[in-house]
Amino acid sequence: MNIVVILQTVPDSAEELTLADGVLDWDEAPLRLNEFDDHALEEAVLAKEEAGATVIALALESAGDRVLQTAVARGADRAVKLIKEVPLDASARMVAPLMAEAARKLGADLVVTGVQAPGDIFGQLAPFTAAELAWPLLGGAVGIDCSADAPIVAQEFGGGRSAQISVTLPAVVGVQAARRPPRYVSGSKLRQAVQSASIEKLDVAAELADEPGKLVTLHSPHKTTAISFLDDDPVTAVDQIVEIFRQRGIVGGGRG
Amino acid sequence: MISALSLALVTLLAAGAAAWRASIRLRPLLSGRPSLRKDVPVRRAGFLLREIGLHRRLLRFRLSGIIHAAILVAFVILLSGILQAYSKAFFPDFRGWDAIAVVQDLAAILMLSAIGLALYNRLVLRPARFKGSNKRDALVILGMISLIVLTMELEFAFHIIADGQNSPYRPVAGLLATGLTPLMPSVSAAQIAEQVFYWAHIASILGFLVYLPGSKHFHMVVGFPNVYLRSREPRGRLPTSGAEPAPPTRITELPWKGMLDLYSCTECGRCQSVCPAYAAGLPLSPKTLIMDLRNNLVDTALGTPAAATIPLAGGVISAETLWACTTCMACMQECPLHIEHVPRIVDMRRALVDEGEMSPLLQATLVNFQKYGNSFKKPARQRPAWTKELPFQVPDARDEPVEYLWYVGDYASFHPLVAERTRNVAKLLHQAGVSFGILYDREKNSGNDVRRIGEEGLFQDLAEENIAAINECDAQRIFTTDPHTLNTLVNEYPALGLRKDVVHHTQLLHELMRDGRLRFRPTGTGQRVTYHDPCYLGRYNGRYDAPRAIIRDLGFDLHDMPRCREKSFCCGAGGGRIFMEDESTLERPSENRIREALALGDISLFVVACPKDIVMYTAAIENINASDKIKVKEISDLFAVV
Amino acid sequence: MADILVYIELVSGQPTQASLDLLSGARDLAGTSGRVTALAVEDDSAVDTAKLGAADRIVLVSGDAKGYTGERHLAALSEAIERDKPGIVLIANSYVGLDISTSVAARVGQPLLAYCVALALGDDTLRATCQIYGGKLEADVECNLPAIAAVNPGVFQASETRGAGEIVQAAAPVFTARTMVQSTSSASDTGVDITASDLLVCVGRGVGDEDGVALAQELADALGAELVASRPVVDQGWVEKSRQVGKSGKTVKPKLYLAVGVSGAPEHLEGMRDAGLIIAVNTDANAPIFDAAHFGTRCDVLEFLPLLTEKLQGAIA
Ligand SMILES: Cc1cc2nc3c(=O)[nH]c(=O)nc-3n(C[C@H](O)[C@H](O)[C@H](O)COP(=O)(O)OP(=O)(O)OC[C@H]3O[C@@H](n4cnc5c(N)ncnc54)[C@H](O)[C@@H]3O)c2cc1C
Ligand code: SF4
Ligand code: SF4
Repeated sequence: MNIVVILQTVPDSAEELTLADGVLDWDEAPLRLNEFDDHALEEAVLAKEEAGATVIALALESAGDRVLQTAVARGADRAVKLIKEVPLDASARMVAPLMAEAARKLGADLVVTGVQAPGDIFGQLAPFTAAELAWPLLGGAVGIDCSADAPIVAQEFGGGRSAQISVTLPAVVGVQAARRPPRYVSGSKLRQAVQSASIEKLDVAAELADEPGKLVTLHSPHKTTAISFLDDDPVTAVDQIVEIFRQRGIVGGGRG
Repeated sequence: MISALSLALVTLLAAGAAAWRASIRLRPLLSGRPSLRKDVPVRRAGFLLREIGLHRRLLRFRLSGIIHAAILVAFVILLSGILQAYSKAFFPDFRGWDAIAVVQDLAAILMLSAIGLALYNRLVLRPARFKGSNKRDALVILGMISLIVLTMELEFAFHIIADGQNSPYRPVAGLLATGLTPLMPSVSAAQIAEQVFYWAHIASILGFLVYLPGSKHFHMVVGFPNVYLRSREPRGRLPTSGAEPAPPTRITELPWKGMLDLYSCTECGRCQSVCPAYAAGLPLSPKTLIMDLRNNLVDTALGTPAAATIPLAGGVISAETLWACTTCMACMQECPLHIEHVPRIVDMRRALVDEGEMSPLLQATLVNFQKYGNSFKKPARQRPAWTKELPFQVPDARDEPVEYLWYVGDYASFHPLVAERTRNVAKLLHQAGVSFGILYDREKNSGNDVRRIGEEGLFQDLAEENIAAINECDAQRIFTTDPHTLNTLVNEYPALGLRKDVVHHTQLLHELMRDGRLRFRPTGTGQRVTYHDPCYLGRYNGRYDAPRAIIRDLGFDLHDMPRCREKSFCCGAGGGRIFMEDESTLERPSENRIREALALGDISLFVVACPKDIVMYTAAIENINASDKIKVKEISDLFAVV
Repeated sequence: MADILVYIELVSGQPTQASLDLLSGARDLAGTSGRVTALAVEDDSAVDTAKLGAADRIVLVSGDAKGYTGERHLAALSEAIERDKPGIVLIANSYVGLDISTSVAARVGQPLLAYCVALALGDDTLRATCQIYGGKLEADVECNLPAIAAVNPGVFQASETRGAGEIVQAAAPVFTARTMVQSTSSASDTGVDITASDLLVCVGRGVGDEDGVALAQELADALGAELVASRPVVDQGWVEKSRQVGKSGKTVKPKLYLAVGVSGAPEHLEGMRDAGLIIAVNTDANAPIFDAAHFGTRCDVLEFLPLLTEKLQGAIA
């Protein structure tokens, strides 16, 4: 079985993100592996370790070699970089056809990637890629068990609700969290992988899709994060808090 | 009379057995990783003689030190008795030396009294440091030595009876003889008794010899080369894994000196008694760690099935044990045999890190180091954020020449409690007209703790990047407020290409005070204060005096805690412990330490000189509800106290 | 104005609060001329249609009693869109919403605006503000109608519903099933996992003693929240270690973090800074917890706790 893991680099929201003319200053933006993709990779490697599979890490050329080298150090069997001119701010919808073609060319049975990325305002990569491939999608995955012919995916829906769903391959899975935190790659293993991992190149014929949505401008949130002090009198403060709870649906509704 | 031939025969047999027992145990050393220390033989020999002659380390534990000295002295003297016993057999005319006889007799008494004291110590006083030691072995050895001495004395006594005349040179044996004479029906009976005890004496000596290689008293043999071959590297320079990139994962892969260490351990427990992890109730005792490794080595040497295949980290020594160490060096400071616990522990941690086996919290921290270059998950650009509130601009040392490059460190840059102190130091230096600059976003964590966590590759990465940044600067000296940073910059960076003098801010401030550059008023009014020596400033780098001098010069009444200077007790944060869950079962080391300070009575300030100490002790004081009694102060804070 | 289709997420026949909020929002957006349709795919229980009064029309699609599959809901929603051609489709950005909104957009070939925190309708455009990069930035985006919007929880509030709308029963959607529900579970299992809880009440040393902790426990029970604590409280043995938040405890990210008597040391903040809503109760106006909190009050915890518990019990009863 071939598991293709799509790895994307995204601006790190833990860092300062600078804006230039109402859009992200991509030259300044610190790019890192999308956290959810990190979990997707871990889950793919776990699935492989349990049931045997070939894990192929796939990334756009612009993501840089380091991401793929790390993936190899983490247990990916192959590392493939997709050769295509892609603007850094291309949306998930735009790149989905490229990923879909690459997945086909790599003989994927299962495509795994993060359930979302921090900037995908026009939709996520996993469902767009599934749609391109016309394969079923399982999002919100928290575990993939590949020991049976039809793998079983654990999906979580919040509020403690979850389900085990079997899927006929081929399929796309959007991973929310691996069963365990992504494994640690020590500095020495990383240094080794940087020297020895070979990265394959893959050309695709597909073109970027059009993105029907349009980004007008990016800005910092308007709302202030500064604290609002409630009344010092407990009776009044309690009333105010209950009102806040009401507004946010924390009390008084069957929120899932 | 005495059959020289049979004596030669049993001696040969016993010596052969002993040699065989020793060689089996020592054989793995032949295939251990290289670690021969061939430098400065004269100095090494001199040191060995001094250690033995002066008993410096041994006497740090007074009673045991005295007992050991007594046993050693008596033992050396009694070696002449053994020589005498053999001479008697081979030269039938040999009558012994009168001059030595007296000394031997007295040595016997000395030995027996020392053994009495040792038994009293072990069975009655029972200091906690013996917990986990092999008591039976200790008693067997004490018993055997007593037997050697007693049989010797009895042999002498019966000789006197058989001879019919008392010797003035053997007062003790003479006394015994007087007591025993009534029991002897005839001279020949006395002669037979003399023979019997002669052979009993020989048998107990040879028995001891055969027993020795399997006992902790093997240190009588291997202790000498072990102390001779001790590491002469600075303490703060952690060795790599015996010249190989991969850490040893099985006992047979240890450097051979590391194996010798294991056989040298006497289970005295001095290391255990000073270990903060042990005191906190964590599953680590440096003594049992060494013993467990030794047992695995012995099992392996004896061919016990599977012993050689047990992984060291997580097998022979549990992961929790390894992670409990704060790398405070207290154990190595005390060990009379100069056994190297910390390099062993870090090597095993390296193996765990290579396998990614660590707690989620530690893993997340290491990922932060990898991604952001600090443990706080702060972007590099925020590194100089602490300077924003200063009334002056701190120069970028990469852009303009400065007298001092300030290597700030993570806690001093990012932790709010510490950043305040960092600004204090900046203001003091500014006031003294010192030109200093920082590396801004190019400074990353120095990697001192990263290395001691066992993340060697990451340490190398951090160090290389930092050195590249430092080398871009035109600065005369480097200073830092962080002893951990200081340690790696002073001891480990030079091997990677750093060529600059590095000082601690306490030293710098003291120099400035002395030279009149930093004008100060004695702000103290004789308050009683105490000072905590940070492990990485004191024990690691021997810098004890500058902080004390500053405290005194500022007019405070400094009282040291019982555990001070090289005996200082670790706060519990070192070696990456600050990045791990702390589930101490008894008492946190930091709280134990505050109680020690409080016990001095009337101490109002707990003065520290390490960013992590500020954090650890502030929390400890809160935790034990002592905020109204004692406060944490950084040395630089004292300049503001009026 | 445009017609709006709202996807209603069900839990045992009950619409989720987020879906109801969205339905009210749709009502306002649609104005008087636009029609609002609520679409729900049935699960194992009868749909509580009474709650969906804000819709002009309620479409119930027959579903799978075994549980949710993305395939079925995607097919149901796509069929409805192709049939009714609404100007806008609104989906709450819950786990399920995340699972299907993009798929639906791809299937019907419409633009999608995700993580919306504000929506505005133009003549033939939809404009939205989207929260991205962990809330660090907001994006103003727009697209032509028809379009789909995935809306974050809390943007709209459900209001009083007027009478029930027309109920239409639709046939099961047509699709080739390639996924199958094997099992589902709903209760959070035994043993606390405070990181999985949406509502947390945290006690610090300011509660004084074990009686104070008990008061906080009562509040947590009334709220349906888990009780967590700062390290000193755990050290005292008043609360078990698995409930410690912070550097040497757990890192949590609940929707609500109510901190009572917690000073907010950096080691504590490290573990809860990213909570959605932080409310702090502390007598010391300078306590650093107030730097991290959204709301704060300087009253005494011991007075505060029982009052809030009582009020909540009243509110729920
Ligand atoms: C390495 C390390 C790791 C640590 N890890 C953690 C960790 O994981 N989690 C953690 O929480 N801490 C941790 N700490 C400890 C941390 O530094 C603080 O000591 C701790 O968080 C303080 O807990 P607290 O807020 O409950 O207590 P305090 O700091 O004592 O605060 C009590 C607060 O209650 C207020 N108060 C008092 N009475 C009342 C009243 N009647 N009504 C209202 N308010 C009142 C006070 O104003 C005060 O602000 C760690 C420390 C170190 C050094
Ligand atoms: S270095 Fe310190 S903590 Fe580690 S074993 Fe030695 S004494 Fe214990
Ligand atoms: S390691 Fe050293 S200090 Fe520790 S028990 Fe052995 S001999 Fe004593």
